[in-house]
Amino acid sequence: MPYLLSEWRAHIQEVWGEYQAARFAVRRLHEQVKADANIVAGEHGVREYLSPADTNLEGTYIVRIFAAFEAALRSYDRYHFDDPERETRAATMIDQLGALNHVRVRIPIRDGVHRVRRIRNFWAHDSDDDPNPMPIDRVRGLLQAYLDRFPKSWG
Amino acid sequence: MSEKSTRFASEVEHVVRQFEAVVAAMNQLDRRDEKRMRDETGDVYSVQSLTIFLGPMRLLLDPNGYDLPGCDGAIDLYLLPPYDPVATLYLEDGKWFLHSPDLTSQESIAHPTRWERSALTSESIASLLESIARHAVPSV
Repeated sequence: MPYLLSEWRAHIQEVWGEYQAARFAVRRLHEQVKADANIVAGEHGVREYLSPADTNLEGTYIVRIFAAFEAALRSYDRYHFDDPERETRAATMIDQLGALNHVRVRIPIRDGVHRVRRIRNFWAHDSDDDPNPMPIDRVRGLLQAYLDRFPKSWG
Repeated sequence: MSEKSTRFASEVEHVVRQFEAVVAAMNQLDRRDEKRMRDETGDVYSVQSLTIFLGPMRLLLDPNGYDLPGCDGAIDLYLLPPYDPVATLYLEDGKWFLHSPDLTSQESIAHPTRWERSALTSESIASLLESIARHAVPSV
């Protein structure tokens, strides 16, 4: 069964949607705990880690949303180079696949995706190179705009 | 396909036909695609998605599912290519409702909590599509 681009893109939207739900839930709980901390009495770790959970939520989801994007790139990379074992670095895939004749991702979009990759590296690999923050809506838009140039199906 | 997913696919078909009729009346184009989803038992079923071409603009009517709290189904409408949300349709007690932002008074699309709600009719679909064609700008 071929891989459908629409399914990879739908998965990115699912992760983004989960972020929206989690953001709403964490914000609401934060407000409720501020008003009455007893609601989390006995819930080990919740009071201590609620603020960092709130602060780090967007970065955490950027890691997941980029993973969904990278999985799509890897699938196409292996198909295009006819090598099911191929392991290409994300940075290389972004440049190589985006420059293919039938893809041709615009350079500002490609550069934006590289910025998202560096943000992912900062959160996932504890990189010291702190990139400037980027709203997750912008992240989603850049990754989707990049994938928009790919064939509808492959494999 | 489960009974629930069959019912949802049928509801989606009804909405897609409504959009197709409005798009045709506006002399614009659209394209159906099959979207594979999983039902509550894990089996794969298919629904229709609709890509709408409004002049240079593209929209995707994208079924979201039926296993959602507070409604019996949802369909998202996205502005492509960045997949910016511009409306959501919710199925409640057998009727579809359209939630969408007021695009005329916003520099950027408002948060969905501030979107307006209306019954899904040919008029509300036409009004939404015209407003998108006139005012929406992709975020990327």
